[in-house]
Amino acid sequence: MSESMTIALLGQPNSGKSTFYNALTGARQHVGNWPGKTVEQCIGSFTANGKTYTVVDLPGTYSLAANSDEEIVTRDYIASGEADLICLLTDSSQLERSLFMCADYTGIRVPAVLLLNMMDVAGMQGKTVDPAVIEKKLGIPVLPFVASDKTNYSSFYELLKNAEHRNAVISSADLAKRYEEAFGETYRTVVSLLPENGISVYEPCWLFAKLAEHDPAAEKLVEGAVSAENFQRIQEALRPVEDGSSRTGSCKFAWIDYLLDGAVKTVAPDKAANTFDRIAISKRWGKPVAAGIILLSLVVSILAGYPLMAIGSALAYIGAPLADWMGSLGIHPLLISLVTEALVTGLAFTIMMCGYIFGATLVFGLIEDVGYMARISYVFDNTMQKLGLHGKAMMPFLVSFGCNIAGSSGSRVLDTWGQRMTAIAMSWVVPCGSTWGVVGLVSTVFFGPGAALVIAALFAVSVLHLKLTASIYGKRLLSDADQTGLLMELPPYHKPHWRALFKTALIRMGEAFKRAIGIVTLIAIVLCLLSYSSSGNASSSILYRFGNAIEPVTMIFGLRWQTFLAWMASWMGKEGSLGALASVFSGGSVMTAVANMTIAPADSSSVAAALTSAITKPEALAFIFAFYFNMPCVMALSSAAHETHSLKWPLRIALYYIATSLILAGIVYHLALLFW
Amino acid sequence: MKLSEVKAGQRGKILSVGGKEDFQRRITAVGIIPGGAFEVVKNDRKYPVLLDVRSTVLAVNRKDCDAVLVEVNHE
Repeated sequence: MSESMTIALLGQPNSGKSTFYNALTGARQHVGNWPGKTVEQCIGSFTANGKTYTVVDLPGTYSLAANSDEEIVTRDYIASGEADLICLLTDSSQLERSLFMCADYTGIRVPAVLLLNMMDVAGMQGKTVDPAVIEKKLGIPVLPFVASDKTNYSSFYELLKNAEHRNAVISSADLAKRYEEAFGETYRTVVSLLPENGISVYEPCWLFAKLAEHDPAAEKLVEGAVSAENFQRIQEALRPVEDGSSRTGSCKFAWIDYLLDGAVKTVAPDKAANTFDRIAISKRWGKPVAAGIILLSLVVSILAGYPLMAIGSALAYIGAPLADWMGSLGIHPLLISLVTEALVTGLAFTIMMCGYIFGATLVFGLIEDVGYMARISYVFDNTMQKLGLHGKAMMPFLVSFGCNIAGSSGSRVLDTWGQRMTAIAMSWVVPCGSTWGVVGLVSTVFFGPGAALVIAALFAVSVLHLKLTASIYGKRLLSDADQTGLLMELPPYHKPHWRALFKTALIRMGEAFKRAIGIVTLIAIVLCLLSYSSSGNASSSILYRFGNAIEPVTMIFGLRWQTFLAWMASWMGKEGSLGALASVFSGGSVMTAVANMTIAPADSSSVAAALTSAITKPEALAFIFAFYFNMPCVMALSSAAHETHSLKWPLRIALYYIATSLILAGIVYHLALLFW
Repeated sequence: MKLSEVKAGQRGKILSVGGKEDFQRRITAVGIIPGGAFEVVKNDRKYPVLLDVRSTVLAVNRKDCDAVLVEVNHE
């Protein structure tokens, strides 16, 4: 017997799989991506029975159909034979429904065990389950379990010992018989044309079901394994089969009823409707309540990320002493400004951004975890449909108010690539935390209490912008297969899993940090070189001369060369704009100011004074619009490219944002000129 | 009748699931199959239909519900 063993956890969403995985492996975990897919791959390990077990947490999916990347990853992994044992998890409080995964798994010859998880919840509903009855029919070990209670893990370790010993696969005979009864001659013909022992780990009955469901991946597998003539005959036999998925589904649920017959007893009928839930999904109150909770979450998410943002800010203070010290060593001034301005600023920006990502991922992860996100998706489904998406796309939109990068990873809740790309493209119009900071400052400086009107105008235009984006890109990005409507479980509310939430937030933050640090530093270096002048006077830098030369063009959009530069600087990070403004109006080095501004917003009064004396109100308004509708920062752009495995689309959409931001600025400027 | 036409609080049996193959696969996996019992929890105009199937509450797109034919119990 081998000294190590690999177990894969398989179960539907909300089956308590993550709780089990986290409790089992503790800190011994590694997170990566499945090759070529934006599906998180979680691998951990634990020691029991004197040996080391590797645990693979497969993505939570409702079935093994090849509908989504998650399901394809899951199937390919099971077929690869890397796992010695599949551990099926079900939610005992919804046993019938959650055993569907088990039914879909039946016919795969990889040894398995079945954990009837959440027995405590089932118990509260007055349900008792006799595992022996199910075990006898399934032919594999079955264990009633409570994953959130560490005291019953010893029974799981015992089960593992037992499972290794028996090496049992689920007995498929009864399910196969049901397929045969339901499909008759078609079933017999197809099975007779398939290899007698199935293909790799798949038994003929499993292959038949997937073929009847018109599963493209299974068709390909069979095509490769049988002669061309037999494949054609199989296809002919299946051609008259209609509604295959719902017919095999009926067989699977009938089989589940047979499994549970005599095994489940229910004493009391369940559930009294929850008052909060009635409000949360009510037609009148659902949306306002959601809006209130979302606003509160945004505030809390900024507070949660604040310690990191403060660290980022504090970094800037090392710039000046570092420059002095390097100067005393006689190092060339260009090199000094590269290090103290470009590198330090790049790092400071990236760390501050991490604060936003951490806060947004944690808080919105919490909302998802307790079950409320599904209610938000429900009440806003009709709103999102106007954009060609469905309710689940609320997640990336909401998270984007914190940070557009977190918005990109939030798009993973959607089912298809087209939906994800569309959601990302549209969520870019959502202003991130930093955008708010700059917009708030500049509009207050120029318009005082009128800033509220400016912000209302920005919101109104955002809606039009969203509609435009939807009409331009919706059709191109959303194919027929992407037009799936909402189909979502509203899980019962439950307590948050804090450890897992913090871990996810840290992981997302780490990913973003690694991706961003390089690109931010690069841009900081370029800006630094362009704004460098040996005399120390900004007017002799390349940037200044370039700016002056292009001003006739930028004024079409109502942008002075200074505000145009500030608009460009926001590509690096939205706060960068403030710094750029401060610098060009005070005559110092751009990068020094970019650095100082991010960092010491206390200085904003000096920017204010410089701004109001140099820029007219229409020009200020033009800048606010150009800035607000600009593409997101390059870090968000690169994370979108990473999430979608496409550089072409994010770049195209970024160009679209750049163009529309300038056009909107131009329109607003010329309109404003009529009044001032 | 269509699932989208069932009023809140009504119970019944699912007769057939139509629509695209992809939709059928997804809806089968969450437990909506011919012969299955259901109860509509909420059915507001312009909102997805909320139904209780096998002790799970599901939100299903309205248009998709047109493809699910059902029979309502008359108590």
